[in-house]
Amino acid sequence: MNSANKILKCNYMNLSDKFGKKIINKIVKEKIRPKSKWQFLLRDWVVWGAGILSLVIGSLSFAVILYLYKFNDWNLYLQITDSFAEFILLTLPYFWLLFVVIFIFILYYNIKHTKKGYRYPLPVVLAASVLLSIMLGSLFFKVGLGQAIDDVLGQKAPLYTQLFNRQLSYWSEPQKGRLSGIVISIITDTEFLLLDLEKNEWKIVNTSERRLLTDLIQIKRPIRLIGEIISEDIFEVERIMPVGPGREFFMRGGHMRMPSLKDIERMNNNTMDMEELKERIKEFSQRQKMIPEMIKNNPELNKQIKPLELESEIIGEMFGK
Amino acid sequence: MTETNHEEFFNLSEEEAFAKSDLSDGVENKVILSEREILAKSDVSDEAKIEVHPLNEEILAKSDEEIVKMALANQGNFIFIIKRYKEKLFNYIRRITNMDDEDAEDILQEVFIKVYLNLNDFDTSLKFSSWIYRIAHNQVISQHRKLKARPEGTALKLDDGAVKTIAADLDIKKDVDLKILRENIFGTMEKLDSKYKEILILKFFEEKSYQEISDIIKKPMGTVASLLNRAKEKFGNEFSKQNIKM
Repeated sequence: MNSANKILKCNYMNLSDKFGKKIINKIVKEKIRPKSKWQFLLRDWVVWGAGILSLVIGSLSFAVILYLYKFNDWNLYLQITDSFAEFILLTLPYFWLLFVVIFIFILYYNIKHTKKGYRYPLPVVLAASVLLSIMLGSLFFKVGLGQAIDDVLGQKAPLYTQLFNRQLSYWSEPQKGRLSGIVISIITDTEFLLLDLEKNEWKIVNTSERRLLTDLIQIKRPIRLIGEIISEDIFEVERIMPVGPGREFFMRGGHMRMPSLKDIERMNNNTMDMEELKERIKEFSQRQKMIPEMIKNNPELNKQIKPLELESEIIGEMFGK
Repeated sequence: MTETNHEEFFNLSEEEAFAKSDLSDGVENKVILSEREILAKSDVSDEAKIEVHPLNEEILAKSDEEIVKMALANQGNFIFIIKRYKEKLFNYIRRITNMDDEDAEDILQEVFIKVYLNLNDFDTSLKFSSWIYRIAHNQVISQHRKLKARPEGTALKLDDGAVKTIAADLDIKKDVDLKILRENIFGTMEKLDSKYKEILILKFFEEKSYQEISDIIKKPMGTVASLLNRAKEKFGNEFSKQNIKM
C-alpha cells in the first residue's frame, strides 16, 4: 500500500462475485459517474416551467375569449343571424379556442411528466388543467389582459380579422345591414362620414325620428351600425354601438385616413367652427409623418398625397401651424 | 471464494453470500489486498481506486436508501445494491421476456449501469425497489424488441406452493395435477398480451402492491386495478381454452 493512488481497499467477497465485479469494473473503467443532482433538478424545472408557461398562455387565450364574448351582442343575435345556433357558430372564436385546447393539452402533458404526475388519472389531470386555465383566465380577464391582448393584436397582427377577431368581419356586411368603421367627419347632428374596414367612405344618415347616441359619434372613434343601404354610399342608421374587441384595428395606418380637402371645406361651410378646423389641421400635420411609410406600402398614394401636402403647407401658413 | 457457476451465482442471496464469505467469522471483515493481488483478481485498470465498505451485519441492516447514499459517496458500495437486487431483477426480466440467461444478464447489466447513473434521481418518497423495478421495466421495453426474445419456456420457475398460490389468486381450479397446472399457467401466460402478462407477473410473481405496480409502470392506481382485472379475465379465458384442449 505504498502508492496512495493505486491502492484498492476492497471486500474480497464482493469483487470475487463475477456479476457485481463486472459492473463495478465497467463503472470504474469507463469512468461512469452518477449524473449530478442539478441535471435532474433542471429537467424537473423545465417540465414545471413549460407547464406554467402553457397554463399562462392558455389562460391568456381564455381571457381573450371572455373579452370577445362580453361584446358578442347576445341580444342582437336575431338581427345578425337566423338562429341562435348559427349565431354561436358564426361568432365562435375558433382560433382562440384552438389555442386554449392546445395549451391545455401541453399543460396536461407536462403535469403527467412531473415526478408524480403519472399517479393521477387522465380525467383528473385534464379537469385540473381546464379548471386552472379557466380560473387564471378569468382573473386575467378581470384585470383587463384579454382586452390588452386584443388591442395589441388589433394594432399589429396580420390576418387579424380572419384569425383573431372574426367578429369584425360580420360587422362589415352593409348589404345585410351591419356596418362598422371609424368616424372621419361629422357633417351635421344627423349626418357623418364613416370609413369602413374596406376603406370605403360612407355617408351615414339618420332620417328617422329616433335620436342617435350622439356621444358615440366622435371623430376617430370606431363604431358599429345597424341599418340599411339607401343608395350607393349612403347608409341609413338605426342603431349605433361602440366597438369593443378590434377597436385598435381601426387605428391602423390604413384606417387613420387624413381628412380630405373636401372634408375641410365641408366642415368649414357647414359649421364654421374654426377651432375644430384648427384641431383637424394639427391632426393632419401629425399624420403627415405617416406619409413616407404609407407611400412605401402603396406607391400609388404618392400622386394623391402630393397635392394634399401643398395644401397643408398653405393652410399651415394661414393658421400659423 | 471459488468461481461460482451461473446457477449458483443467481441463487446466492446477500445473506448467503455473507455467510459463505470469509468475512462472517467476525475477526476482521475488511480484507486489504496488495495492489498486485487486486489487479490479478480483477479487470480493473491500474488507475482504478475502489473502496468498499465491509459486508457485515451493519450493511445487512441498512435500508436501501442508506445504501444509495453510501453508493453515492463511494462507487464501490454500489456492489451492495447489485447484491440486493440482482436475483430479483434477473428473475423479473426473465419472467416478462422469456429470454435466455445470457440475454437477461446483458439487460440486467444495463439496468444496473442505468441505476448507478441515475442514483441522484432517486426520489426517496418512492420505495427504492419500485424505482429500480421501473428502470428494469423501461430497459426491457427499450431492449426487448432489439433482442427478439426467444421463447424458452423455462422463465417462469415456480415451486408447488407458488403454483397453488397463483392458482388461488387467479381463481383456477385446484384439483388439477400440480405439474399440469404449472404447465398450463406457463402456457397461458405466454399467450397473453405483454401488458397483461407483466401486470400479472408483478402482482402474483413479484408480489408487488398496487401502489408499487403503479410506481413501476407509471400508471395511476385505478388503471393498474382495471388492467389487473382485465388481465385476470384474459388469463381465465385463455386458461379455460388450454384445459379444453387437454
